Amino acid sequence: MLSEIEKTMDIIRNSDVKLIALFRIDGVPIIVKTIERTQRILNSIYWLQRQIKDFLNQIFIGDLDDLKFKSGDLIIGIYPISKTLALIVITSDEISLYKLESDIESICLKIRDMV
Amino acid sequence: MSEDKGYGMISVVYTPYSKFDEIVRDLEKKLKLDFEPEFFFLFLTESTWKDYKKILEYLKKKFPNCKMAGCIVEGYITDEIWMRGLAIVFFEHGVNVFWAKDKNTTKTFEILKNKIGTKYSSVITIFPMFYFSSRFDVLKLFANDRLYWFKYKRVKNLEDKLKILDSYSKKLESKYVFPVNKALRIFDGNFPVIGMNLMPLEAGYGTPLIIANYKNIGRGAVAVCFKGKTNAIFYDVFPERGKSFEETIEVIKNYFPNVELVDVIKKGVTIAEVNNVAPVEFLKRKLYKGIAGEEEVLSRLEKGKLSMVSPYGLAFISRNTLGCSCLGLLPYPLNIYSSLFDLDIFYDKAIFLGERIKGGIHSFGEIFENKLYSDTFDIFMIDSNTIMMFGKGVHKIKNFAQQNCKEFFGIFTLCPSFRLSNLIKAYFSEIEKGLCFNSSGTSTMLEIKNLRL
Amino acid sequence: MRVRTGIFGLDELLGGGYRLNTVNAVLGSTGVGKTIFSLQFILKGLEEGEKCIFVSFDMDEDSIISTAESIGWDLKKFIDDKRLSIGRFYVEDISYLNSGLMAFILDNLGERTRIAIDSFTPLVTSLSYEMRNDVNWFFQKLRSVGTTVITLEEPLDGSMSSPSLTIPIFLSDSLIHLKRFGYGEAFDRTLKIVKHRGSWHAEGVFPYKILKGLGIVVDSSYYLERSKAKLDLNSVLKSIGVSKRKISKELLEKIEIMLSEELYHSKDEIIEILKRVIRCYQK
Repeated sequence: MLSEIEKTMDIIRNSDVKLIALFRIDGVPIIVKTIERTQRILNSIYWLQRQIKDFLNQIFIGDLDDLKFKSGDLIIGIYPISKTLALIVITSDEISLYKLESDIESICLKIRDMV
Repeated sequence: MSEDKGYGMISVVYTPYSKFDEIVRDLEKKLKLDFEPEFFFLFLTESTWKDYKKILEYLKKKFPNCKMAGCIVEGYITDEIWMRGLAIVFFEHGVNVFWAKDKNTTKTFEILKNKIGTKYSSVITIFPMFYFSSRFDVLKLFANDRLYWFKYKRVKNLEDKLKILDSYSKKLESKYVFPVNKALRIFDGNFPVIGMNLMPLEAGYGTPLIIANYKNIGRGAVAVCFKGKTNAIFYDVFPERGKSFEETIEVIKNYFPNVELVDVIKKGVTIAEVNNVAPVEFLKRKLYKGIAGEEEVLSRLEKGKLSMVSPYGLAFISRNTLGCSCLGLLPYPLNIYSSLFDLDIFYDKAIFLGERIKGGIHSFGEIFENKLYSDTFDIFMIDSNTIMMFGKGVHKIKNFAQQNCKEFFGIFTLCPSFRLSNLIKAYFSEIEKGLCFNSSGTSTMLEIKNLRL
Repeated sequence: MRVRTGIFGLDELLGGGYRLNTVNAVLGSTGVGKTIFSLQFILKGLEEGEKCIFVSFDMDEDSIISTAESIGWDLKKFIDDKRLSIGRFYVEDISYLNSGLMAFILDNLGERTRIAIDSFTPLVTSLSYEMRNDVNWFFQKLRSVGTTVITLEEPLDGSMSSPSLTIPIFLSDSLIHLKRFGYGEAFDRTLKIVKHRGSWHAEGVFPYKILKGLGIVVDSSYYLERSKAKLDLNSVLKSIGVSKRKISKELLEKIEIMLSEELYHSKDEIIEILKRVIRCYQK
């Protein structure tokens, strides 16, 4: 299952997508694919580990579809897969987000079917 | 999905991967057809079109005897929706392809019309509304714009102004623009012609890409012709047009926000003035926003990131039908603005408005309610403006298709147009008799009941 | 020489299994499968002809047999053959480390012995940092007689700072952390190898299931499927564009040792790392 999920996440890998990860609610990253290996991306992962549980709670309590944060020239998107899993996508703010979000929705649907 | 269900063997294969080797790996698993296709329709996306040569080479090796047509789309809809990768629709028989490329719209489409003849039941024609060939050509465009604007500003009376605009319009038509209504009106309307008038949401050099029988035809037009029993549908999300100029204005005022009536000086595919100022200057004053410089435009084209959509535009009302077509106004450094459709049939009063779609994404689902058959293979085209408007909300289109279609394949492409003499209602977007075009809010569908050899 | 854990999919993640004569901790909260882990470890030893000792402070022999039967394992025949010894002990205080428990273990040794202590927590509940030496002594004794698995109970509040946890965790040779959420979703049960002294181990979390008959099955295929780089020194140096003559003998030795292991990194990653190392070393 993990390799299938990884292949699915690979679909949106490109230079504008800095990181795609599957996080568990306790902050444990199940799969992390970093395209850009820099300090700021690492810092984002550490930040997410501490915050992911609160974010997922916010999503489910607030009946939100997803959460997005803008930090400098990065956009951090949190897309719930299930009550305990979330897909994280960090992109450059130059990307065509409207198209990417549709593809992220397709990826979330595929991963939801797998899990 | 390849099974003869009465309409002949039609199979859809797609891959969401973007890198060539990943595409090949995925397609090798999926390209196991149960039939020998006579024709395939290739749809590339933003992530794959630059590798079109390699992809065509690969497909030619696989299907050496197959005719094909191809183009770039924003995304496609099967059992999944993807804005990347590519999709291919294979047909066992009953589909043919023609292409033409000549000096201007009229000549190109006349050649195409003659090639098509009268034996086909439906046609999908693919052509670029505006073609970005190269940096040099875009620089020439800016230079010509400045030259014609200089000439335009020197003359005082309207007649001379219109002569200059006419001359410039012909120049634009010969190199850059295929005005949609001018293209489609060449056809008689005896059989439906769906216009895939391409314009990418984000343009780059070499776009829109159009391919016929493994060749990039550049600024030309392709016709994919279907023989057999088919039904073509047009739909726009707007209310019906009015029965007079004033009534159509009322329809517009009730539907769109921030409406303002303006005076326009225009000719052919050019607009020189909106309320006595250049169109882009008019936009700048309305929005208090800056205009991108030439270098910025060129740089964005280089990256393939020049946005070609705008939430603001001018709505023109047709003298012929009292229908309406909108033209988006983009903040680019052009004194004389280029239209994507022939403006001569429209009133000189236009309406400046903001974009809006009442009913959200559900309004685009209504095309499925107009289907004639229940047992067909449906190819539908949804306005790609929906991607910008609704983001992942476009996934609902897949649900509409699954509920209403037996088998389907959909694409997102900018504002598809339509030509057919007898239309079922007084569409807002019907700007000439039996000819529908609008720069947003339109969808088309081709129901394939059976295809003949 | 490695001791196979008996946990399906785990040995590859440990570099082949536990190292011989080590003390290996398994940490997890209630219901994650710690007892099944230790029984599975013991069962593997029995299948390989080893002498096995199971120590419990909570369950008696019948309960342990019945727990094994619930997974479909029959321990009775091994008990009758005297290949498996089960000891139930009652904890008063840590002095047990010095007497009864050790005596029981020493009385039941074989040529090759596996020991499971499930769970170790009752023994060390009232531990303070001053008692670290006692635990260290106990672990040294265990290492001298066989390979041991001890289970540790993770507190429900998640607090991991008490000496009763930190001391055995730090002193053990390996630590596997089992986690369970209880939502019934994918990745509900995951295993993480926190440390494995003196050996390579896989990084990341791995989902596992508990299945009748098989016990714990770890899904490690994803990790193992990834490109394993088996590189030779000459080709690597060629890729970097550095000749052997320009690298010191000491660094070359270190690089050769690294390359002699099967690496779970891509070739490009290894080359990047070596480029940086050579650059640093040359400075």
